[in-house]
Amino acid sequence: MTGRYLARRLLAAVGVLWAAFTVSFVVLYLLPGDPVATMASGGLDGEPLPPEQLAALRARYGLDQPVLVQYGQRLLAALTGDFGTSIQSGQDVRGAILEALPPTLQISAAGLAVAVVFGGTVALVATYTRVLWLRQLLMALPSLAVSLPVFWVGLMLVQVFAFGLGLLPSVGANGPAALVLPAVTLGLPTGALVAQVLAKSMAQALGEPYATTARAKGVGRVGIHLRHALRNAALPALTVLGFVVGNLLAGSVVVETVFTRPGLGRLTVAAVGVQDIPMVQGIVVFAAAVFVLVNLAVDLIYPLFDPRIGATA
Amino acid sequence: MTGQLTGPLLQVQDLRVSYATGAGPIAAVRGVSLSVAPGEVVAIVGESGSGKSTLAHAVAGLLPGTGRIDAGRITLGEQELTGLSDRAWRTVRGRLIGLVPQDPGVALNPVQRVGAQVAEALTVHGLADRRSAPARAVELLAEAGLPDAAARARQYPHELSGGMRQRVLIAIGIAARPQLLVADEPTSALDATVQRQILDRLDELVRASGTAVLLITHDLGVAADRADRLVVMQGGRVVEEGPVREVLAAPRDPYTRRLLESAPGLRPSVAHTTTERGTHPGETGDSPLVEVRDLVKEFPLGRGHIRAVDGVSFTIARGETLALVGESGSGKSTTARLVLRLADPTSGTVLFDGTDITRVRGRAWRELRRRAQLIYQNPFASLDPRFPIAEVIAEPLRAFRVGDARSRRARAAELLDRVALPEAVLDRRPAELSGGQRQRVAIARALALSPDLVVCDEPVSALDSHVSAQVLDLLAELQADAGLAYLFISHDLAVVRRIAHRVGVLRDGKLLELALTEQVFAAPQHDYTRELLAAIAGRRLEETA
Amino acid sequence: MTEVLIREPVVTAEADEAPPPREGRLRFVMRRPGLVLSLLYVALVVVAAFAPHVLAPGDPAAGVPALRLQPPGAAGLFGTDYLGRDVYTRVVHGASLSLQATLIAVSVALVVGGLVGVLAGFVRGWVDEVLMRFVDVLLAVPAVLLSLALITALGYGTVKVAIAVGVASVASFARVMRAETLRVRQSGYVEAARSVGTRWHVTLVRHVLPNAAGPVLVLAVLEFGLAILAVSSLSFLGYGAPPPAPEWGSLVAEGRNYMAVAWWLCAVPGAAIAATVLAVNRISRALDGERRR
Repeated sequence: MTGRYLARRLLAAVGVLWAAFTVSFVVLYLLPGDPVATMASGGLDGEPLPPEQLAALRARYGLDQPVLVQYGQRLLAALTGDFGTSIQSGQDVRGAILEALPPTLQISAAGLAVAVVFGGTVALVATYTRVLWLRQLLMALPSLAVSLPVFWVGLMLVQVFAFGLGLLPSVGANGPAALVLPAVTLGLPTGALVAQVLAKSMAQALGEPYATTARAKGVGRVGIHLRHALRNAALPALTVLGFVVGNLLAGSVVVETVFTRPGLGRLTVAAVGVQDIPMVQGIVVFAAAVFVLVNLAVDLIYPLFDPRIGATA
Repeated sequence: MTGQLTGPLLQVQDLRVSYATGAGPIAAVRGVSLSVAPGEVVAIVGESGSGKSTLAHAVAGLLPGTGRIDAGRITLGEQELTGLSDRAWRTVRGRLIGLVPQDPGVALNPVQRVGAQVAEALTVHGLADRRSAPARAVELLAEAGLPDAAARARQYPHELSGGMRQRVLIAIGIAARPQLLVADEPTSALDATVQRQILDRLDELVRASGTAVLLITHDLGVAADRADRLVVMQGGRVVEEGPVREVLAAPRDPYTRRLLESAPGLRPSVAHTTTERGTHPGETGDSPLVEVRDLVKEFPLGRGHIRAVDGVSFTIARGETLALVGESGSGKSTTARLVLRLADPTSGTVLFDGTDITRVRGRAWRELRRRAQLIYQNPFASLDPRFPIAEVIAEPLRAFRVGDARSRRARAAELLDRVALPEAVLDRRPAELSGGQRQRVAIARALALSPDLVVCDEPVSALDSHVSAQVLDLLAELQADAGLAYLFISHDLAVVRRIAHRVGVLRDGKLLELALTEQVFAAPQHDYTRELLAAIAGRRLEETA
Repeated sequence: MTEVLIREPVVTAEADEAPPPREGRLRFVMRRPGLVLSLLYVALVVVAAFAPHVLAPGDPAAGVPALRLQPPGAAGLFGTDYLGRDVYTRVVHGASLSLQATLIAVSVALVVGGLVGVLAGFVRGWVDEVLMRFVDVLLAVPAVLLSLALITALGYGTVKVAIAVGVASVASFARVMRAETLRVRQSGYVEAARSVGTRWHVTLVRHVLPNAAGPVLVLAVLEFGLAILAVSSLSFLGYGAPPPAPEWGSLVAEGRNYMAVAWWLCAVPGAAIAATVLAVNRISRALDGERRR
């Protein structure tokens, strides 16, 4: 791995972020007929404001200037991490996001753990077992899990474990017990994704001629699965990590609503509800940044696992 | 190493193997019996679908999950192999029966160093511990002929050439000093010169250690050169077996005879016989159909360039077959595409029938398409899977708006007849045809506009040898009928000998020599040509012929 | 010549050369009970979407307050809600808006994504570069967030939600279409068409599009399931049609307040969504498998 490789990757990452900012600017500031009117009315259902108040607001948010000037100013500000102030609360957007982040990180981490354990177990057992019905059952699980609406799964879990059995709290963010149901709800569809990718690449790796070569040497099934197949199969699974983390972030929107937990998801729902444009843009760019950083990290550690990449980079 | 066995080492009795498919079981091996004595090299020869690979995998206990032994016995020495548990098989695989698989490109674990992969073959059988295994692995790699083995052992498969990887696989196969080595098409993915070196090394190794070998190959030449005994398989059965010289000298089965006849390398060329009827097409004094001068093609590579074609000049006369021969990377396919104007040359000129076509575009380019056609290596990919054959053949006519739908269909039927396919094929789709039939369809399509030149890019390398012989005969026949000129691209000197009037030998983009076919074979001028000729398998075929 | 034909029969018996045996379409379906069930269920949902009165003649908005929160059984197949409205009727009538939104979403994704993909894959060069960088950006933002941003700009409502969901999945269609176009473009038969003199636009229409379309259409069916989930999620969050119009997602949201006393209010519409997605995915798998045969 060379410095040039690293520089190229970094440049590409910055490019994606810039494009994400631009696309969200176009969508949020140019698409609505009059962003100030929609923002100031507090959603689409509110009463329209008198024209002179609108003009004052427009001046305050810099919306009376030419589009390119607005774009330039916002881009410069965004470079310093400044996405403006929330229309709803008047709070600094960056501050609001950072404040909402910890609880979301908590359930995302717990969800990721559930996903990896669930997905990895399903994929490995399904490809290892020679019991046909067990294999078919396990292979069917991921496609079942991705077909269920996340919000519904959450509510059903609450129904059974909170209202029915009274084992776990139904809502809130107090203590580890309150984390269990949200983590499972969040981790299930993500784990299904992991299971699908891993099972597919495991099956493929086991069908490769090198697996046959290993068998011909006299290596046992466990050795072939773990020493030969898994090391090759883990690589495609690693490349979807960016999507997995994005998935968790997106899932938090629904899960935090269902379980009435504070966090980035709830912040998003609230901001969309009142058309808080600076806040929504801040969150979109933040999500893109997370995706880009995770993928950058994957790119950087990938050559450690795959010698073929290190040689060509 | 083979112990004190008196009887045969490997015995297969009335073996039947089938594969489970969605449409029910398909029998792949239908009652095969054979035996291999200690230290003996037995070659199983057959074309694709003959069941030879299935047999090899059954012997090594490596049938895929869908494969099943329905009946019969396999015994190794005193031990019965059929019905062994998975655990028991593990003490047989590698230890008693080694495998050298086909296609070294994919048979090694890409994320593990090759030394470790060789060492594993020892450690799983307790023949070395973690500490001693790496050193033993290096010794084995050196034995298999890998240069600088200690350094290579620390490399990954992608850092080695195909030939080196094949040597690694041989080292793995012989690591535990098995009594029997199953070699499944061990060199068919390699260039001829590399193939010969590797087979030589394998020969030395097994003769020295007294290991018996079951050699699976589609190449009668390789089998004849390397084996003590030949087993010919067709359709899941053994049709003939016996000592190599006997089988070659007096084949009893008609299928064996056909294989022998179609084996490249020994029959005088078809082109040669046509030449005897008249003068050589190049000597008639007409202006040549194609004239190539100083052709150069560079591809960007990293910061510099690589010269794929480096100053190549030749001519092709009307009605002549010029063959360009070379191993992979020699620039032969690129040259073909430049002649057809399907790629832009870096410098040099191409004259077609006296006109400079080096840079033609637009209308003139399309006109050239009427007169120069291409037949591809892979008949499976060059036909659109969605169209019936009638449409495929008529596509050039359609492109140039020749005739209406009805007359185009009639012309397609006529063309099918010329390539010896029944009219019924018109309404089939490519997937319903065999490889040989598809290549005939591709030829029919190439002939649709009655071109002057047909470029054949490895047209038979994807086909079994007897099918390939038929296709070559057809090409020669069409040439005699229509006065076509061929530019014939091949890696296989033996195939070229059957069809070409003149042969050019390419290496690294340079044309090393260009002469009449028989001259090249009888008195090669260049060392590399001699090397290529020496690498043609089937010396023994020639001796007995 | 006849000798040649005997050696190479049109359908060879040898395993490597023989084409796979073809199975009748009907037999293919009938041998898979799960697939039959899925097809039947999807047919039922389609009827519910276009002619709900055939399945549920009642008025979805009319409630009998005396019969509020009745469990499934005597008061109706799936019980009644907090206003005494029949849950079964509301779920059947909810199919209409939910399915409309899904159809719009998939169409947007298919048409826009397909065009972008074909353009990028066929024209190549800088067009490809620019379009694919744009697609990368769309992929960098999770689909739900992208949809939410669009809703912020467009406003609420079934159609707007549908467009937001559709735009968010343009990227995956564009990628698959581009990959397929590239694959077909580089295939032997397209080069063969070029070398016999077929013009590029004829090649595009005759060879590239038909051969590239298969996987994209399979993706469209799969996307149908994902779009149902996305549309109902947004509807659950309250961005869909305003009440009292029934929509599957919003039905679950309404039921949420009565979970402790009336489990069926959440369970039934959610199960309807899940069953639809499962059925569609099963059909998509069958199409995908059939294509590969």
